[in-house]
Amino acid sequence: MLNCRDVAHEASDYIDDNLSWWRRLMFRLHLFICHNCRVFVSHVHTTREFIRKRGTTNASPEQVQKVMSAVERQSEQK
Amino acid sequence: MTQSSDSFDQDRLRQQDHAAFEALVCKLHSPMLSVARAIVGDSLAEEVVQEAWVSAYRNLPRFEGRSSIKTWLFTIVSNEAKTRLRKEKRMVALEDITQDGSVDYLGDDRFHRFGGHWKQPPPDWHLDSPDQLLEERHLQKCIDHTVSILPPQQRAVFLLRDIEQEALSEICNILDVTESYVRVLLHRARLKLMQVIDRYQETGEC
Ligand SMILES: [Zn+2]
Repeated sequence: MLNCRDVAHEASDYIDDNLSWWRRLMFRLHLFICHNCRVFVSHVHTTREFIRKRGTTNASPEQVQKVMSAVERQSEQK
Repeated sequence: MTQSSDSFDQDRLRQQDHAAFEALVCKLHSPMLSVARAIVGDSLAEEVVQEAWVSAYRNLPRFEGRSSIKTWLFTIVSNEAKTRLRKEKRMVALEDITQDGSVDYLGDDRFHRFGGHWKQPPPDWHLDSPDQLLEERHLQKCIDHTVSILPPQQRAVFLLRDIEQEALSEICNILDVTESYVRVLLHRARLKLMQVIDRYQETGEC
């Protein structure tokens, strides 16, 4: 049987579907009987979805400008 | 802020269209920098990424679309960084890119020594959906800050997987690490953000 410590350490593998079918079954059995682990796993899941929905951070205009001038310099050279 | 993961105009990019390329730089410069930092460390990363962009631009007409454009770019910056590392003949001290001084969210005091049950169970969240979390302005700042101070490898894995949604196998190639290690780093990064969310839910601060 898995205990809470195991479940907490493998929570990302569980929500990302990276556990073997047997491990996954054990994991689900534990969740069935353990409220705290259900809360924990749902927090990991919410965190992952929240981060996905936030999406990317754009580069600053200065960073973009720097890259674009480097690219232009190079293409003039050839 | 969200967009479909690979919505770049590949035809225009192949023709080296400036506006299309600029959009690409804007979206992907940050994750490119994290990849470089995870391989060569902070001091050389900016330079390596500049070179990677220049080389990507030059090679765009030959981009065949066998992978997504993002994976293609991450591979270019990774190769550029690895070459640079060999050329410099200096190894970036491993602890620079892997060190992690933060307190373990799942430390020994969290569980009973025997039996492994929770000693300090996870707290309840009153904001418990992604959308509710997205509405909290101050929380976004806390999250940005926490991501910015993650150890370089952890940050790169986190950005590539949870934000750019690269496959685990691609991340292993890009960063030259094993899949089990990628999974460990990903879990650690997520737990750090969870810790911030825990505190925010409790105190409204980070
Ligand atoms: Zn449990």
